[in-house]
Amino acid sequence: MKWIPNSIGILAVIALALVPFAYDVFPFLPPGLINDYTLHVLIIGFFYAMLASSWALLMGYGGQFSFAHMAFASIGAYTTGLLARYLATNALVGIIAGTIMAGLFGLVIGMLVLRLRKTYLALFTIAFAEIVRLVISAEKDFTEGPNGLSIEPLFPNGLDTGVFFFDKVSKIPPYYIMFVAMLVVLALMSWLAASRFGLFLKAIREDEEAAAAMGVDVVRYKIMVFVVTSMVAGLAGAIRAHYVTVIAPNDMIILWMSIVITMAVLGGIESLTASAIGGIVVFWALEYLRADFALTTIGAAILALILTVGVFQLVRYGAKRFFGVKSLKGVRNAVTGIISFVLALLVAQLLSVPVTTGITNAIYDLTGYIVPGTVDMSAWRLVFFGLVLMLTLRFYQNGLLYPIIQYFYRPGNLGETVAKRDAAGQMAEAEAGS
Amino acid sequence: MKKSSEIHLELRHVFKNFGGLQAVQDVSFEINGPELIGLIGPNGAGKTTLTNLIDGALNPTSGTIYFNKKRIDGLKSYQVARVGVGRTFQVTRAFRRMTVLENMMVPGLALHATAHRRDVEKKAWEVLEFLTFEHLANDYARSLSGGQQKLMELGRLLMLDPKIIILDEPFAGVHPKLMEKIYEYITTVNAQGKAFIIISHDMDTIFTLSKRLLVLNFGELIADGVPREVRHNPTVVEAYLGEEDDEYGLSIEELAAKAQPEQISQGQVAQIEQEGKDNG
Repeated sequence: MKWIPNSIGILAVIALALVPFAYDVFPFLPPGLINDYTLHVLIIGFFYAMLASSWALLMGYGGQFSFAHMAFASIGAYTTGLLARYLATNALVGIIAGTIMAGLFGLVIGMLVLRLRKTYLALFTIAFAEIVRLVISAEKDFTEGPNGLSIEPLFPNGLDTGVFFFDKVSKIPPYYIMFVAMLVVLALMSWLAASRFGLFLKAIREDEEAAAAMGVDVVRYKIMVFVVTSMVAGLAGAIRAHYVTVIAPNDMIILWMSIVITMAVLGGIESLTASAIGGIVVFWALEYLRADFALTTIGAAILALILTVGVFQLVRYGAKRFFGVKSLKGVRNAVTGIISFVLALLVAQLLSVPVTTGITNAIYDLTGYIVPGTVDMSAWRLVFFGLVLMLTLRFYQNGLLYPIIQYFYRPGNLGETVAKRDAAGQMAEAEAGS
Repeated sequence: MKKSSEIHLELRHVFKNFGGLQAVQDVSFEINGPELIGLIGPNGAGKTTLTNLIDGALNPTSGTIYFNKKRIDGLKSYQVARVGVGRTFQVTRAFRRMTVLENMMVPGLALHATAHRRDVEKKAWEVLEFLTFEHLANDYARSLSGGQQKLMELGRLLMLDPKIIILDEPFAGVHPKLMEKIYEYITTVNAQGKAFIIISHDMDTIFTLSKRLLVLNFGELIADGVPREVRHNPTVVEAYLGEEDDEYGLSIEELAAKAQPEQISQGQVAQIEQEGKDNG
């Protein structure tokens, strides 16, 4: 069944490659669906995909919880920015230098944190990230501080390919550069993860001492994973700097780092591809939710969510009570979920206006406070993702996407594992009893 | 699993202090060839510390350790492992969120930087076959029972192809059936030419299994010899005795039997019950 996710993946890559020329290839697409804004969202989405997947390599494979990833991206960005400012280097040289510089910082950090575990490592990297941000803010004379450092676009004179000419503000060249960079980085990291490097990282994540006793050079691989992932972050940051053309210390505040973590966790930190998809989807959702939303729409969404869970549980209960089905598993569970969702959506559509009006009226009656008809989502969207992150961590620690991919790659594995675990449990009980 | 030709481990006057505590004091011994050695001693005698010193997890305060004429006391754990000293830990330390096969692959690939994955995988399957674990190869280690994890850990050791295997409490908390399997593993692998150092509190097993016994007490090596001699060594008996004067003169096996309530005979049970009634 591997072919299902594999072919979806290939189709997705082809579709993404065609996005800038979508109307030339598919003239029947509705107008306004793809514009410069769509391209912008995708470019930054690819940037976050690189960050989220390299963080997944660091955390999901290596077990090294780092808050410094955005700082490494900014180190890459400021390296190319400052080189251009003082040595007048071009974008290519700057991006390479930024990648190497981030790698050097990764090397130093990797060596400093060798003895730190979990919480201490997280605290250490928060300190490092904040120091980088504060130093850049403070050194106004060199870095322009919080005002931001302007950077030349990738192609200051536009790009002439012979067939097409793109001016310097065109989004198409940066789109392809970011896209190809993401694919190359993903391919490289996936290859690393599948090699002995990935295997040893996982062993280190599970148990450092046992890995060392099994002949794994723990120090070397821990430093290597910091260097590799920092270089990816630096590369992504440097390319982004030349795309957005102005960088500021605010790019690396802990909030954005938390969003990178959210992206990786929602996708699934044990899969590089899943966390990359998480990066693109979450950034797209963040941008989409930026607009003002009618209160009734939000009411409908919340209602739908509650109703979905309700209907789902009702169906499960019914199956158990009246049809003797012990528990719904796999496809049947998913189908039930989807049907519940559709039902809930229809009901929510009908109920949203009366319910929302009822609640707002009740609030007015009680407090005299007039509830506005629309909600400014700029802060609430972050609240939403915070909640999603919390729920994911609580109920789906493997992420939301990764288990689905796993389902196709290891068919029947879920049921099998449950059965075996039950058997193992019984054996453990027998052992304990003897 | 080729025959390991040369095995020579030598500890010379090894000391280890933790602050003021002398965990290991002046321990010297040699291992020549594929010996099967039991390492015993009361709790806190320094058995695990000694293991960590040989393994490279700890560095001795003073003294030297040689393995096949190579000094290993300054080396890191992974270097010692590659030289040919494999060990397990007192608590099972499987790589839980990795499959059994992946668990096997780690030492195999770590041992040779240039090893081909296919060759290592082939060897891993051989080891799994030896453990009769083929059907579990693609399961996560965490889904195995505690005993199975222990056995998997022993299999993982074989992938390292060590010359000396140090087992820390291999029989602790293990189902009797599995105990037989571990016993069989030790004798089979030992016959293939690998030396063993086995730490255990299970006196019955250690006395029948090992050909040579080392006894540690308060960090000092108080006896080194064949089990029959050690059993009646007055220093050893005293070390195991503690304060309970009335038990003086019992052999180690008898003392160990006393420490294990399930080995009380039917007659004794009746006696204890009678005493209980008398007192109550």
